[in-house]
Amino acid sequence: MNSIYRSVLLFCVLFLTGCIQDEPLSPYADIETFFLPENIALSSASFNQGNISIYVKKGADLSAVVPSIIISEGATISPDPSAPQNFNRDVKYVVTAADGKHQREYVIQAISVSPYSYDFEYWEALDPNSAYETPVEYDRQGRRTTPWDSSNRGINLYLQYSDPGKYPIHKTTSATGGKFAAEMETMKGPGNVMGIVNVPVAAGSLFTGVMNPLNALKDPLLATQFGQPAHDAPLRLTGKYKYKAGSGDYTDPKGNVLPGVKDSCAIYAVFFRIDSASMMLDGTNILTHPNIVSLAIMPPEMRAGSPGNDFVSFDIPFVGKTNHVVDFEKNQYKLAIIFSSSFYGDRYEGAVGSRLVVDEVEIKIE
Amino acid sequence: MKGYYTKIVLVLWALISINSHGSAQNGFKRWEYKVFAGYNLGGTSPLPLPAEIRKINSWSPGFAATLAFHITRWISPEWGITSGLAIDLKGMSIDADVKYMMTSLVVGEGDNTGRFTGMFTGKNKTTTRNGYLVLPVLATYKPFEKWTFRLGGYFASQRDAKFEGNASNGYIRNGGPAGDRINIESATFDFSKNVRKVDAGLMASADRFFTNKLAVTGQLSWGLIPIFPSDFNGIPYKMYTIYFMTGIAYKL
Repeated sequence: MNSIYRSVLLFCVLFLTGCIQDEPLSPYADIETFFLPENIALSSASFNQGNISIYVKKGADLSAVVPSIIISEGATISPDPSAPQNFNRDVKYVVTAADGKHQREYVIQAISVSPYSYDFEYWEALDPNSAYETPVEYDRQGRRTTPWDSSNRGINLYLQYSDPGKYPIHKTTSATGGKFAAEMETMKGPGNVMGIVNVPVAAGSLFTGVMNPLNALKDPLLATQFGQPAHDAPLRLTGKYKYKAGSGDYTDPKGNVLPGVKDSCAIYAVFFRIDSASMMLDGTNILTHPNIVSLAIMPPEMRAGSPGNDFVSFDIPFVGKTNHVVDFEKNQYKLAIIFSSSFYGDRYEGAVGSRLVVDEVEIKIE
Repeated sequence: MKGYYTKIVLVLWALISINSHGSAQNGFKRWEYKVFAGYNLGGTSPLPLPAEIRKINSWSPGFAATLAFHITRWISPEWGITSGLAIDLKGMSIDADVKYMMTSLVVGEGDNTGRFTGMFTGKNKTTTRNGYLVLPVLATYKPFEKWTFRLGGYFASQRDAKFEGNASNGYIRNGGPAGDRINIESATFDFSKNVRKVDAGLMASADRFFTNKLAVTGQLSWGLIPIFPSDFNGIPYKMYTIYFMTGIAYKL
């Protein structure tokens, strides 16, 4: 009887298998990897949606450079990637998927000067299919760069708003210099996401680096990839902030309320030596990695909240963590600046309603 | 749910008891009553299989049974009309490799309700078992003493739905093919609440009698209404219930 049953099952599977259609053509139109020659590049390329930024050595000749590009299987790219390009300006590539229907546009930027002052005046929806905005910076030559990324990109995976102001990180007109400042807010999370992860609270985190959602669902601490190449050693992190911890319950990652615990914000910057051009720090090691050269972190009493309703200035020195002597000839370095409305927000921990506003942030290098 | 089915069985049994002395006129029996039980083999499946499904790793019918009562009104010795009521469990488990499959899942509750939308490539395991109350209307033809054939349609009311599964060993491109790539080691989905409340389709069946009372019966139900409504985005293609029942029938 059992063997008859098995035969029937086998027949059914074979029958269905006979109905399998031809494999669909790939709809992917990605630049998978992007490199500039080693004598020019200071870092590996950093991808933020269709923006690829790559830090280059100061004074490098960018007028006719042949990049090395790998695109999705079967896709085509224009212009011809083997043709030299002038990377003194933005270079645009269009990739067309094997299916001929899907296209992606990429803008490549070679960055030779690290921006050290951040005023949060310019915000853009970097993902053309989503409303959330990310601050972008303009350097002295007026070239737009995308050093910042945020937890908006993670939140947007499962919560989509049409109003960018509803995302945990957004611009606010409550600013001190210029028109806008960056506001971060800890929100209630969606709870269980597809049986993979529980997100009771979603904090607003803004940082220099890239939010990589590749493993975000399983291991959120790996999603925040911190750091951008640095051309100089930092001395102080300065700026203005205001912070009020949320009056609601402080919730741990399992959704349990921790009575008596008050939320606090994160304001810090980490200067670290890199072993390879692609090295980044992440949520698991941003404060503890042995390669950290120096660290500027706001003291706990200031992180607990700012007095009154006005902006309060901060000026935090970078404190050396090791005896390492900074040498830009021998080593390469990155700098990460991190703000969050909940200090442990990257673990999905915090109090709903915590609100941090920052403006006029600067890295002082001399 | 169990209590609901029990009640239906009792009502059917009561009907059978009342009518089990069918009248014989003009040399043939006008009314005929039959109960049968059987096992459903089949699929809740798109037709034809869409290109997104690359490989079927396994399929199993699970527990999917039918318990039914038929009334036939014979108009002539050869022709009649059959109706009745059946409790039908239609289900299966399938494990398939899929590629570029668009999906959209509702995540969260209340103000924080969002959608996780994307294009999935990987392994998909689905288990479905939907309980239906089925009302058939069938033309009935009895060319030989031992054989009865029926052809017609059915209407079904879904009373209890289960459509859930697991996506694993793959990745999703958030929002579509140009979106961020996110690895999916193992994620669950549950579309039970989205299964349509009604189904209707074609039905064909045959009885082969071995004794005066006892027959082997086979019945094909071919759903023509997709099991999910058109505004449902969890699965990019239309799925239908297509099941073949084999069982034993008993003429009362």
